[in-house]
Amino acid sequence: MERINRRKFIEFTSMLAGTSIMATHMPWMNVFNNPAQASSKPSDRVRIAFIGIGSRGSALVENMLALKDRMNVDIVAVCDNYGPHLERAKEMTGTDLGFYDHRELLDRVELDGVVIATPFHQHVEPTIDAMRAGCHVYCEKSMARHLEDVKRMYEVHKEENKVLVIGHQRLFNPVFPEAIKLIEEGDIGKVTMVRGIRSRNSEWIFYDVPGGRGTKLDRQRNWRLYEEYSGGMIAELGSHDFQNVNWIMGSPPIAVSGRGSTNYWSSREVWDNYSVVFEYPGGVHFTYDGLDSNVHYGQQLRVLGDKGTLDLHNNRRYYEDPPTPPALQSLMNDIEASLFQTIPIGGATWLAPDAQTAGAGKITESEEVQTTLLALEGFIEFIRRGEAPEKLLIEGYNASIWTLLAEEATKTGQIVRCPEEYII
Amino acid sequence: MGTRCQILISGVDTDYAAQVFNIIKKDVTRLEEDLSHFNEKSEVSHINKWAASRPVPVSETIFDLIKICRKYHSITRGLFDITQKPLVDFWSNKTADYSANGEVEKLISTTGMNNVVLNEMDHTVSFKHKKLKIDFSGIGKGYTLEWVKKLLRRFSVKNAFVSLGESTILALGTHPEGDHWKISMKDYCNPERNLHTFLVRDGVLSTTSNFYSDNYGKLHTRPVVDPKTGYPVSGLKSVSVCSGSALLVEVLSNAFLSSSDSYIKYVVENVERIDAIKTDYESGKAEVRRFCTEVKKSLN
Repeated sequence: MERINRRKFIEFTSMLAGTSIMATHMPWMNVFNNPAQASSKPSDRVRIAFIGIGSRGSALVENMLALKDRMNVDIVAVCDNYGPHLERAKEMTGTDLGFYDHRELLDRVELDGVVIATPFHQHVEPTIDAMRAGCHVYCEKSMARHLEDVKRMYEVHKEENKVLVIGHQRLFNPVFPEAIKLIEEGDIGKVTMVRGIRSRNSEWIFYDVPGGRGTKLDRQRNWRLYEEYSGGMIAELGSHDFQNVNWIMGSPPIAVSGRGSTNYWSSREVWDNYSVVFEYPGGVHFTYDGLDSNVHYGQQLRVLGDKGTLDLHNNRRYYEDPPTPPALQSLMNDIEASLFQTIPIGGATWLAPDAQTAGAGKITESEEVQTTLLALEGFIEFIRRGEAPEKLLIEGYNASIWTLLAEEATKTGQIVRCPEEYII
Repeated sequence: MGTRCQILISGVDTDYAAQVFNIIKKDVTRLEEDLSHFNEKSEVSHINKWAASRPVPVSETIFDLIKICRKYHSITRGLFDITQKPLVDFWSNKTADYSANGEVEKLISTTGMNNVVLNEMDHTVSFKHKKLKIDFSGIGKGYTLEWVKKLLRRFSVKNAFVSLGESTILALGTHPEGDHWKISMKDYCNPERNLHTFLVRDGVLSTTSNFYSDNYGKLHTRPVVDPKTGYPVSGLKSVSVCSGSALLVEVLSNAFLSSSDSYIKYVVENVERIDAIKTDYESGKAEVRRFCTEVKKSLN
């Protein structure tokens, strides 16, 4: 399954190779068309360390282990300031080199790259220290808790000339580049609005902690619930969608406004519901809401144009005026002309069996790919080349900046624009 | 289901036709919501989720439809089987030359209508095997068109052409300019050529194939599993069946796709008013075999 899907994905990227769409919107996907010829020699092995190996970090470790032989990559060291996580990571990776402090890791271990999956308020130091120590960095979104730290991470990347990849959920998902291609080709006409939803119905407690909410341990373990460490759903979930829409629109927003509150999960410091409206060039608005007390509408992201709609969340496209099948058109023409002709049925001319609504089709046939695996594969390729397309980091940068600005908008009720010093 | 429904009503006032259309649309939408496994909130999706762990109370519509499916499963000697979904899902992820290594045999043992338990007392459905799933895609359109036919007649509409994705078509009454409807099946390899023209009056034409083309003319294949072997029907094949009953034609077009020619001949000789063609594109061009009782010819 995985092999077939990967093959489809490579077919997809090779189809786009050399096109202006690839160069302008998704240059990082080109890495799969000309992979570096890595031998299996130990001297060619890419040496990776992981910093932060909680729930997401463990998933990243598993994905990296899947690349071990094919990409000749080795997880040589792990780092986490929570003992049980560190021990689990050592067991998963088989390494003896485990550290509580990332600085000790960077001092003592020779590395090519570092994967950082700490809580996002703890991204900035290990990311900057790793680049200063000569490592390329893959860091999960969102970049940092404060605007100035996001900018600092970007500047150090420039100063040290090191790869910095910010991991977002769909950067390697073929639905998005195909959607961009369709939009550029005018398939859904003029894009007039984008709508998004992320809803869940959960308390968002990752760990049961003695003493419950508010304890020191709970603040460390369930950090997502505390304003000092997290932007709540806006940062942890919304940031993925904000990146997606920036990517689709080909531009960061102009402004954002919104409101939020905590009306259900009273023990948390961050919003359990919020709505934001981003304004993009051309008067296009992206309306988005996050809710943690009703999961009915789940996760949705729709691009609306005057000729059609792209449902990015489930790989569907719809047309305002779906083409009439030739048989019916032919029949209607005949009746209008008072002709008694045969009605031609074109064999099996019906819609794809998984189309849910009239006029629907798929955006792409290559949807089922393991995007985390591809993202890490891309990172290893970038390490071998010593560079990555700048556009990839700019996506992460803008998503991180506008995540923080959206959070500010929900707190102040003001229309928030990006301060000049954070526009790159 | 998950397909486009198009309705052409003739011989009545435009406003009246619009009213009838809206009533039909409402009912077809309801049936789609109940029957389609593409809809995660449909009744069939609910059954598939829970019936292996406990008896699931179901609506009268679903209960009756499962009973109908059981009847046709028996009549077609198992060739029509709504429990094939696990095998279809399995083959959807495999290429035709995949060596199954016993996986298919294991899946076959979990399928079959004998693993579906209907309780008449409390109108519940349960599955004997946890992997079992039901799928009405081989009968849902037929069931829907039977319903549409009743509605049209209730509202005194005598002539109408109703297409569900062009795979199942109700031709009620006659064409405004003729005394029947002429529906021709085009050659997939040579679209200018008609394989066969069905002359239909108050009848239904159903086509099943292991391939289809989308709105944009692109060819897609889809596995149609032979319930006897558990393996997908090979090559590109298509079956069209015409008769008076929407349920019957859809069931038979599905069953005939994996059956032998002798079985099709047997059915056609023993069931009234059936006209069918089976087309094989294996050689790169359409090879058509027609099955029809001489007396009835092709007029239904």
